[in-house]
Amino acid sequence: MATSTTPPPQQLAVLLSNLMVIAALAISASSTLKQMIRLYQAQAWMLTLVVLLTAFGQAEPRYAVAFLALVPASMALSIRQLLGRASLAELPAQAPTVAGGRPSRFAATRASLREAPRHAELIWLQHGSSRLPGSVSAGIDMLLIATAVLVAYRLVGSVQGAAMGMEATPSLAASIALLLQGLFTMSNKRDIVAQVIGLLVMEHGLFLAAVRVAPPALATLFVVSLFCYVLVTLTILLWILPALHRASRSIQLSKHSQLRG
Amino acid sequence: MRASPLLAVLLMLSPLIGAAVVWLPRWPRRRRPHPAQVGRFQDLATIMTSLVSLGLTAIIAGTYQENLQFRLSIVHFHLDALSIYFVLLVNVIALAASFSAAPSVARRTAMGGRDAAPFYCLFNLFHFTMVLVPMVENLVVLWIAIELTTVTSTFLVASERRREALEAAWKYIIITSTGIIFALLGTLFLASAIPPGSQAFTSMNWPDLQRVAGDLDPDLVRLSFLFVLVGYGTKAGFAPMHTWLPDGHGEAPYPVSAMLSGVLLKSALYAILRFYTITNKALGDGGLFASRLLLGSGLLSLVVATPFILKRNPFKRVLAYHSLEHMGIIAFGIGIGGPVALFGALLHALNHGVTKSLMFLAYGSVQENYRPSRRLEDDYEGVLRVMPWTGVVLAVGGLALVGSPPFNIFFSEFLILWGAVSRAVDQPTLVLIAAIALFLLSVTVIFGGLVRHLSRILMGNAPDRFQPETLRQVTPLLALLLLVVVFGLMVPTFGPLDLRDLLDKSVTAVCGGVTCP
Repeated sequence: MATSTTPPPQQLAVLLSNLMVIAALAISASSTLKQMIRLYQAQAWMLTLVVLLTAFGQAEPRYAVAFLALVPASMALSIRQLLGRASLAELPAQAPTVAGGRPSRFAATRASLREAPRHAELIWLQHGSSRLPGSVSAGIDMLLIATAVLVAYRLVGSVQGAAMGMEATPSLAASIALLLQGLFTMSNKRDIVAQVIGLLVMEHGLFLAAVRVAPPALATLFVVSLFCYVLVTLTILLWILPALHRASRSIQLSKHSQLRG
Repeated sequence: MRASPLLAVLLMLSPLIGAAVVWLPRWPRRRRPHPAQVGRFQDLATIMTSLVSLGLTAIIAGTYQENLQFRLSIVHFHLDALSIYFVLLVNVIALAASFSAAPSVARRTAMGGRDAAPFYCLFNLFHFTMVLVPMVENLVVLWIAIELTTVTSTFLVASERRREALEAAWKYIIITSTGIIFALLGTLFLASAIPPGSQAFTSMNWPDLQRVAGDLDPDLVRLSFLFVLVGYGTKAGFAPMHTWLPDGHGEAPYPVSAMLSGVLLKSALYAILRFYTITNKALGDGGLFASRLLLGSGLLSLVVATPFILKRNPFKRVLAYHSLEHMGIIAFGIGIGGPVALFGALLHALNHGVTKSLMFLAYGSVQENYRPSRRLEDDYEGVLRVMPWTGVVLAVGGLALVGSPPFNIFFSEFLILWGAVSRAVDQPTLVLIAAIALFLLSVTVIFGGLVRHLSRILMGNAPDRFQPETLRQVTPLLALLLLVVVFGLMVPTFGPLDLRDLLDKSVTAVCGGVTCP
């Protein structure tokens, strides 16, 4: 809970954290990928602001934490292109050649990535539905948020003398809520791109925890680890999903059940 | 030569150098050698890399007196007996798998007309990341290293580019990445449990955390261990987060399956062990909290694996379910605690790694050599007649895998059971007795399951068209088989490397540097 002694930037950061949870609720309730992607972008910008407010909203600026803002900001900027690429089995045709010569591989990929969202638009409108009815999904989401809040308050209430203080409670609750909501989105959606968005929501929960809950002295370490996590995301988005799509000609989960776990 | 930081650096860098060297034949673009020569070079480079790595590990393990500490740039490394033991495990399996990589790669590249360099490069990178895991000192860097094993192995699982392989890679990366988020959150909770001003506050190094464990907040430590067990447990293949395991192991090329099952699961187990030690020291409850969780997790894995092993499944999937079973046995052993069961659990990690990689490599050879018969994998029969050496290896390896005496897995399972029964005699509780009964029941039922699968493959009608087995295929299998037999009789000493002493010291390390209660 943001008390009256909490500085205004920190109060704003807590407010934005809560808004991120509401955005996750909306992502889970969305019926198309297009809506999910827009909401994810909004959530990523909110996280960028939270990171910056945490870094500069204190007497002593934390530059290592500010550096972390690059991750959600670049994800917000590039997620449409990345998910566009992930939604298409083949890259759109290469950009026209420059001055008669062949463009470099990098330039061609960049041009194709720029074009990908336009080509993926129809797929985004056709996919993104949930397995459970909307009201049931929303009910489960609310239950998950309540659980997260209870766990966070129970946890912080019992902690004495450790690095985590009472001021961490709302952020911890938001982080746990985002993790649970992301996990629920992954299990409730019918296609692999929506599942990845669920994973990205979980990742936001982790970012929030690293920035707001981790002891400041260890922020740099967690920053590095989160940069590494982006590697996994990129592997999924740029390589696995297109290859899987090419092999099965579909992003529907029901078409990817050759194996039974 | 004595254990020194320089040797440790060389050991770590060896697979990394291997990953770079396999690209060399691509370099003089104008005069590129014949593809067969390139393949031989890449194969040899990978084997040499693994050989050098294992040799250096043996020297370090054989001359180990005190912990090795060093830093490269900003990353700190710390090798105690437990780290060295796990590095040894990684390198033994990596060497055997690297011997079998070439036949698997040759078919893959011949099928798709592809370059083998990416496969060899990723194979060596995967090896490097798994060597890195037990060597790093910092728990966040440990998480990064485990995350890197996911990235490299995902590409390897999917390397055949078949639809099933890609689907398996997808499931693998999505499930383990989800799990690993919980592991980082668990690490973060542990960081939050450190009182401000403490020595470990800015480091997150496991030796520092063990030293100040008594000052950590117990509630946060409990939550941290719970999250870490779920997170790293997903990667270690504990039920119910194991669903990626049969798909990943079943669809990967067989040398990769051997590495995944033989060592990747153990890398995650290593991470759990480091947190287990800190948690036990912090809670001061004689290991009650963490042990109960591991015991439950181990038994659940055993029970879940049993019906899948009995069911008729492709053999590689059956082997994957055996990994679930054996990870369950290891977790059960750690959960029982005490010097005997812990010794058994750590030995079981090595025994399972050796035996399982033996089985994956042997069955992979069968897959390769039966290809001309155009039989479906479900109809592979008569291996003993057409591939006698491989057939014998599969038979003996299979018996070893189900815990039959006098082989290695029987020995370590017996030690775990001994530890469990001793504990039950000292502190008889209904839960412990029921757990032992369940353990025995599962292990017995599983015995029957694998024997049925193996008899189908080994006996029956041999195909008319097949490739005869080669010395190259049989050599690593016989070497691994020798280990399976020797470790069934004793914990051996190889020159200066006294494995029993290393294991004793590793058990002490798991107990936090003191004699286990």
